[in-house]
Formats: sequence, structure tokens, C-alpha cells
Amino acid sequence: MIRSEKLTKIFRTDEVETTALNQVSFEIRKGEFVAIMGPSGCGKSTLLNILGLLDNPSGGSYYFLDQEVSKSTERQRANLRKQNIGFVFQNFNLIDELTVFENVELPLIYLGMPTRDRKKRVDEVLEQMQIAHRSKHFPLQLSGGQQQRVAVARAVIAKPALILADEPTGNLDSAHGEEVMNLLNNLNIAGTTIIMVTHSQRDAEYSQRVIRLFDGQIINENIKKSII
Amino acid sequence: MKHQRILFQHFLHLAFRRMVKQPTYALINIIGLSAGIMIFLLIFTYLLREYNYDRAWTDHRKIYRINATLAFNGREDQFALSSYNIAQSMKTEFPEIEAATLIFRTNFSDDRVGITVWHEDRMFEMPSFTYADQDFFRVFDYPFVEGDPLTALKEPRSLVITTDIARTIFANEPALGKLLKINKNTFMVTGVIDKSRHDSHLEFDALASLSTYQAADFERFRSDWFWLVGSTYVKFNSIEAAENFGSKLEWLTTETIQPWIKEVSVDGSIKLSHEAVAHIHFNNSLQYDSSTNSNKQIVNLFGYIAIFLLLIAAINYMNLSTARSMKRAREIGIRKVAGARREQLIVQFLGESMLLTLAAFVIALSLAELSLPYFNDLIGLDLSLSAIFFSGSAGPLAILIATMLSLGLLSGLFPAFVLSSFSPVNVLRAGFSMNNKSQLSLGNLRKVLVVLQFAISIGMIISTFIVAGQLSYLQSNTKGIDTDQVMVIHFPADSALMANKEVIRQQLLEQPEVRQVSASQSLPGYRSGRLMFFVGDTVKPVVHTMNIFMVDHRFFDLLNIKLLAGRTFSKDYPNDATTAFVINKAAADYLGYPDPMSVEMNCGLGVQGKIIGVVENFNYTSLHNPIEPLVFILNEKRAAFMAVKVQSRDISGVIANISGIWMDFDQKHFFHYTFLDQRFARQYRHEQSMLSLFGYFSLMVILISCLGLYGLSAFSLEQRTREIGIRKVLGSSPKAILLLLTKSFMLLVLIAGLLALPVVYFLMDEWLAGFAFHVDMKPLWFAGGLLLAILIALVTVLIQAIRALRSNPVDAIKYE
Repeated sequence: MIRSEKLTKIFRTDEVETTALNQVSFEIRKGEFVAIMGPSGCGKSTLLNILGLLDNPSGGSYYFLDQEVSKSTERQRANLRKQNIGFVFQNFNLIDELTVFENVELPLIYLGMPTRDRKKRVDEVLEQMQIAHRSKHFPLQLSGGQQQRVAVARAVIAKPALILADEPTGNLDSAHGEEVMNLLNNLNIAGTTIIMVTHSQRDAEYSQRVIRLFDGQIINENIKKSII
Repeated sequence: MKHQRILFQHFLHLAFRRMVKQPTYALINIIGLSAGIMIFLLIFTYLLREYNYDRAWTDHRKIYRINATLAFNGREDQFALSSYNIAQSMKTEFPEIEAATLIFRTNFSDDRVGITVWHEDRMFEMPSFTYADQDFFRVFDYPFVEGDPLTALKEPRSLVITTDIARTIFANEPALGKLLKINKNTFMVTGVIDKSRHDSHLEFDALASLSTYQAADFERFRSDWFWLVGSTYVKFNSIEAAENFGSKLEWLTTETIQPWIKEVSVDGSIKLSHEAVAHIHFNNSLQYDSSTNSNKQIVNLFGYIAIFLLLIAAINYMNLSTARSMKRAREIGIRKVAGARREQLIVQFLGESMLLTLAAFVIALSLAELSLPYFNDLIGLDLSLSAIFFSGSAGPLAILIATMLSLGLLSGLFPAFVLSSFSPVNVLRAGFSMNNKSQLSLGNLRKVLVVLQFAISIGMIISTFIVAGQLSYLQSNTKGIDTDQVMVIHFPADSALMANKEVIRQQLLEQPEVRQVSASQSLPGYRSGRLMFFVGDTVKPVVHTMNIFMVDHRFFDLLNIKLLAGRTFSKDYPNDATTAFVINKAAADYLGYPDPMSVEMNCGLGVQGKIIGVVENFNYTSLHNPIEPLVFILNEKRAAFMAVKVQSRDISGVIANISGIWMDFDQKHFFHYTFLDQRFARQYRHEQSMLSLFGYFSLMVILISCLGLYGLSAFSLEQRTREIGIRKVLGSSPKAILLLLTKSFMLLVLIAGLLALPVVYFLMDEWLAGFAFHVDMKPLWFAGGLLLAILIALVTVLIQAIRALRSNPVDAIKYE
């Protein structure tokens, strides 16, 4: 599903040049649950941004669904993104002015889905994430765990083949963190590919494979579970 | 398409919710924008009126007025008038002229005293009245409600009245054929016209047929090409003919007029020119032109003010949106992640500003409707907003829509492009803050815009001070006469009062409060006549035209006019009325004789004799003009005014007494009086209304600017909450923090002031130069304006700063 060859990302400011990713190559197949781990500043989030088509690499190739996308335009990336990728962030990134329902609905609006279909789909997913009773509330009225469930609901609403999660439990206590991890796990079992950046060894347990990054390079890949 | 609709609904819904959920922000924008749009609507209506004078006539481009310029002794005077013979030439000599008409100078057009009209046994009043020949309505096609335009002014003693007058006198009955008595003539109403749809320089409420005059009168009119009896208007058969008519006028002058001048051996000349009727309203260079004429510079100035106000409101929107961009950055990132394209976001933000502009417009429209009566009061017009919406042409509405769209775009475009450019990678990080570079440049832009706003505000405040200073100078400076407590009673022309003048005078003088009474044809502050004088040698006199005052011998004493040489008119010299002239100092200087007292003069009013006295110059027209040469002649047979000098604290009691005496002698007219100082002040009514408008508009400008500053400082302080907390924890004093927080804003206002000062100085210097007498600009006005703006801005920022200071430092530090 995803293949990277010698991905490189260099950040330049006026005086300093920082190599965030240094010739990173790997492959992730459909249906995998992969965790990316490493210390702060090792390039985890940069990698996730490139994999999620939010950013272009400085060098190397990136194949998304067998399509070379490393030099695609913002418009092309936006189109691929909205049809295929869902995001879950550490700080939830919900829009405060929108209700739970409206936050979840957002990707469907940009996909141009008619109102009735949208409502049906959002209700379904909210039910699935056990947050339907809160659909008219605003994010700030919810607990952190509830907010993250809403964020996951938004990530899966468009039925993406790939979910990218950036420290999804980082702002949650352990009970709520586990809840969210179970949700992700269930999604994976249902067939969604998941790539998750995490600091937490416990969260990484849910994955089938861990990619360890250090100073922008992969230092270790270990497969814990067999993939069917 | 369907996709677009879904997006549109979503954004609309969200924009409304945002307004409701963040009322401060929405309110600042809506109040600012609606105030700006309200003023714009008022001024726009005003501009539409001003720019459409005399454009409603059919083929107005073919209608022209013939203006005469008279020159005697190298002194040229341009008049909006022409003589009877000129009008007759237009009618007969030129095939390209389709119709020509002569309308006499409107009686009382400037004084607005009112003319008494009798219908049966009831008395009415009408502001103005004049005569025109039968072709008048062939040139000016006023719609006739009753009567026939082609014959209405044909017969002697015919009268065409306006619908307003018809309604006043006849209520709902037909007016045609009814009799009206004005002065000594009884007229028959032959037409009723609707003037309401033709804004025009023509001023009359009733037009009588010129043929009412006697054959002997016409004989006199015909005898003199210099006698400017009224205005001649012509309608050409084509625009080209109109444009090429100059040479024909020259031909008329050389072939017909100059030979006549030679024949009567006058040392003078006439030049003729033709002026497009739509050009008249903004032309102030002619004497005896319409009192409705306007100054184009001032009219345009209000246009600029309207644009300034819109600009200032738009700046508020831009500043607040970009200041809030930090808050919205995350939303933009999320939307992009959810699949939004940049164009969609741009459309969203533009949609928000458009929506807000629309909401503000609706509010502004109702506010404008509500405030229109007050605005009309201030400028002395009867404007209606329907002029924009139901003008019959699409122009005004198109301008309005274009302005509103530009306003929405101007406000929204910049925030839309800045905000939609945020990269989700940056803004969705946990501890996101905008990178220094873009934050700095946005911050700088906001500063520039705030400086612009305050430069405009300060400029307007200072201008208001200057206009006020000049006005009070004009009103307090009557130069050389004592206008204090001088009551002026208007003398009706046909009155039985004339015969009883001396008796009334005596009765008035018996009142203990009355000091002096003078009956005269002329008074300072009213229009004076102008006359040709033959000066010097009786064999070969020099012709001069000078202004003339017909007065009685108490006139100089009553107004306390200083005598410089000789004497004024006196009862001791019974022949003064036919043999004596008094002149003012300007006339003495103008005539240039070393001893004016020996000079012989002769004028057409049957006075031939010597200059017997020179009086000090006094200001008898407005101070727009320098004091011109003036000749006084004694004439006790005619009087338009009775001036009564009183001395009393109980003015209303005096008025009651005097009017009582007056009424005993005359029940056939309305009793009209004014006070001379008020009359003088009235000459500056344009300046007075300009001052009021300037005052209100500056207030509006500074309020809207401060509203923006209030919002902006709120956001700036929010960003600095943490800094304030840390400083407080480290022991900074409240005073030091307040200084820190307000300093940067005050610096901006100060810079704005420094930018505004020279511009205002330059512009207002130009305005003041339009007055023959004006104040010098005082540094105090500039300092005061600047200080006032700084003070208002300081209070605005302080309100916010004190609030920030009161917050708990612990909360602030935790803030992230």
C-alpha cells in the first residue's frame, strides 16, 4: 500500500539546515498496524506528515497506492487525502465552533456527500464510537477521551483505507488511552491500515510492527505479529 | 454545483454561529461597518442630488444660459444675467435655436422673506415669485398637472404655480382659472406644475407672464443693452450647434451691440458666453446666480469622507481577522486535512466578510432612513434614500452594489489569502505558534493600517477645529458696523405702511427700549444693487459700476458707521436726495481721486451731484469676498426694511410690542422680522452645516477607529497574557506593566498624528484661502486635535490593559 525509497526531508531556515529524514526506505502493506517510535525530534512526525500527504519530501520517492506522489501538487494531494486517509492527532484538533456531529461530518462535506447520506453515515459512526449521545455538544464540553473518540470518528467517517495517528493517547489518562487504542485496534481488525506515531510502549503493543527512528534514520524494524 | 451548495450551506451556518458565539468581534465589525455604510448612504444620496441638478430636462445637453460680462474701466463683472434685447436676439436671429426664454431675476430669492398672496379673503405666503415669457416651458419641460404649457404664460396676468403652492391655497380643488392677488396685480392661474422631479437652479414658486408688464416697460427694457433684467435660456436644435455657438455670440456682439455702445458713447463693453444648464450648479464665479449653487470641492470632500469611513471600517475588519488568525489557524489546518482545497477556504473567508457586510448594510439602511431627517436638517435639503433605489436609472444602484461588493472584498480578501495559506503541518502541531517572520509581517501590516486610520481621524478632528475657528471668526466679525440688537422688519412693497412710515417710526421710537429707527431700501447682509456711475468731468465722464445702498439719513447712526471725511445725509440739506453721494473707503480708493469730496457723479436714479462724505469700510456681504466699493444715496421714498435698534434684556417682550404696533397699520401681510446679526450668520449657513457635518463625521471616524483599536488591543493583550503573568510574578509594578502595554499603541497614534499634520495644514490652508478674510491657523488646534486623539485612544487601550492586569498571574503562566 505504501512504499518509500530513500525519503529525505531537509528543513532550511536562514542559518541552519536540519535533516529531519535521511534516506528512509520501508514498505507497509494493506491491513497492517504499524507503530513508529523514537525519541523527540527523531523525525517521527515529519515522516507521518509525508506519509499523510500533508507535506512533500525533499528527496526520494513515495508510492501511495502504487502511485508516485512525492512531487504532486497540493491540489492532487488534497484529493488523494480526502478519499483515502484519516488523521488522529495527539491534541484532537477538533474545531471548537462546530458540534461533535459537525466535526465528524466535515470530511463528508468536502467529499460533497448529500445531506441525508451524511447524516446517516455520521450517526452510524458516532454510534460505533459510543459518542452518539453527545452529538449536539461542542468539543470543549467533552472530556479528553470523548474528544479523541470524536477525532477518531472523524478520521474514519470517509472510510479511508489508511489511518494515521500521531500520539493518539498522548493527552489522555491511561483508561481513556486504552479506550482509544481499542477503537483503533477494532478498525484494524476490520481491515483499515493504521500507522501510529507513539512514545508509549504500551500503545505500541497493539501494533504488528514497530519502526524505530533515530536522527532521521530507521535503526530497527521488528515484526511482532504475523500478517495474514 | 450541488457540492458547492453543500459547502455554501455549511459556511453560512457556521458564519452565523460564529457571530453569535463571539459577539464582541462580530459587534465591533458590524457596528463599524454599519456606521460607515450609513454615512456612505447619506452622503451618496447627497452627492446624487448635487450631481444631478438640471439634468432631468429633456435634452438637457441642448439647453444653455446666456451670460453677460460687463466691463467698464478695465473692471470686469461676470453675471448670470442678460438684457432684454439679448433674449430677443436669441429668439429671432439664430435658426439653430429651437426656443429661447427670458426669466426675470427672482424677487427675494436670497432673502426668502415670503410674498403675500391673497385668494378671495384669505392670505397666504409664498417664498418666491417672478416673471417669465411664454416660451419658458418650451425650454424647461416641467410636467403640467393642470393647464397647457404652450399657452400658460401667453396672456397678461397669467400665473403658473407649483403643486405645493396649489395644495396650500386650494387644497384638493382644481387651481386652474382661480384668481390670486399678488402686490397690485390680480393673476389668473393658468397652470400647475410639478417641480419635485426636477432639481434645478431655477428658483420660483410661481411664474407670472412677462406680458403682464406694460408697453412702456418694454420700451425701457429695449432701450438699454446693459440693463441685465434677468436670465436668458436657449434650447438648441442639436448638441453640435450648441458647442459651436460661441462664434455666433461674438458676431452678435460686434454686429449689433458694439455699434449701439458706440452710439450711446459709453466707455464699456459687453461680452456674451453660453453655459450648459447642467454646468450652472457648481459654477460660483457669476454674480446674481442661483442661491442653490454649490461648491464642488466641498461636495466632493464629503464624498472622500464617505470613502474614508468605509476604508476605516474595512481596516477594522482586516486587522481583527488577521489578529485572530492564530485562533483560526488550527481550524484551517483541520479543514485542509479533512480535504478542503485552498480555493474553498478563500471562498469561505470571503463569504464571511460578504455576509458581515450584508448584515451591516441592512442595519445601515435602517439607520440611514432614521437619521435622514436630521441630516436633511443639517444641510438644509430634502433628500430621500429612494433617490438611490428608485431613480429611474440603474446607475446609482449599480454604484451602491459595486461599493458594497468592494467593501466586502477589500475587508475579506487579505485575511482570506493569509489564512488560507497556512500549512496544516505547521498549524496542527501541539505547541504551534506562527513562525516569527509571518507573524512579524502581519503585525507590521496591522500597525500600518492603524496608523492610516488614526491619521484620518486626527486629520478630521483638526479640520473640524479649523472650520469652527473660521466660522466663529466670520460670525463674530461684522467689521465696522454694530449689528447688535438690530431688529429688521421687512417692508412689503405694496403696503399702506409706506404712507404711514413716519407715524410708525414715531410710535416705535416711543417705546422705551427702542433707540433708533431707520427705513431703507438696503441693509448689510442683504443683496445690494449695482449701478453705473458717470464720474468726474461732465463732458467726458468715466463710467464705473459700483454697488449701491439706498438709505435714509438715520442709517449711518443706527449702524454706528464711522465717518472718515465730510458728512452723511442730513435733514439740514433738503436737496441731498438728488444731489449728494456718500461713498465707502473702498470706493474712494477705487475711484482714486486725491480728494474724493470734490468729485462730481451722476447715476441713472436721478441723482447728480457731489460726493459729500466718505465712511469707513464695513462688511456688507459675506466675508467670502473682499469689501467692495459702495455708494450710498438718500432715498426715503422707497424702503424694503425698517431697522430698529433696541436695547433690552427682554427681547421677546420688545418683539411683541413692535409687532403689535406694526399690525395696527397693516393686516394685509405677514409680519416678518429678523435680527441683523442672525441675518449675517445666515450668510455662513453653508459653513455652519459643513461644520456640523464635519463634527459628526469626525466623531464617527474616531469612534470606529477606536472600536478597531479596542478589538485589536484585546487580541494583542491575549497574546501577551503569559508575558504579563511572568512579569507580575517577577515583581513588576502595575504602573510599569500598563506603560508597557499602552506604549506601543500610543506610538502608532503619535506617528499617525505626525503624518496627518502637514496634510491637514496644506488642505485647510487651501480652504481658508477661499475667504477674503480668514483666521490664521493656530498651533493649538493641531496640538489639541492630536492630544484628543491620543487621549481617546489611550482610554480605549487602558480599558483592556487594566483588565489584563487584574487577571491572576498563575492562570496566565499556565496558559499555553
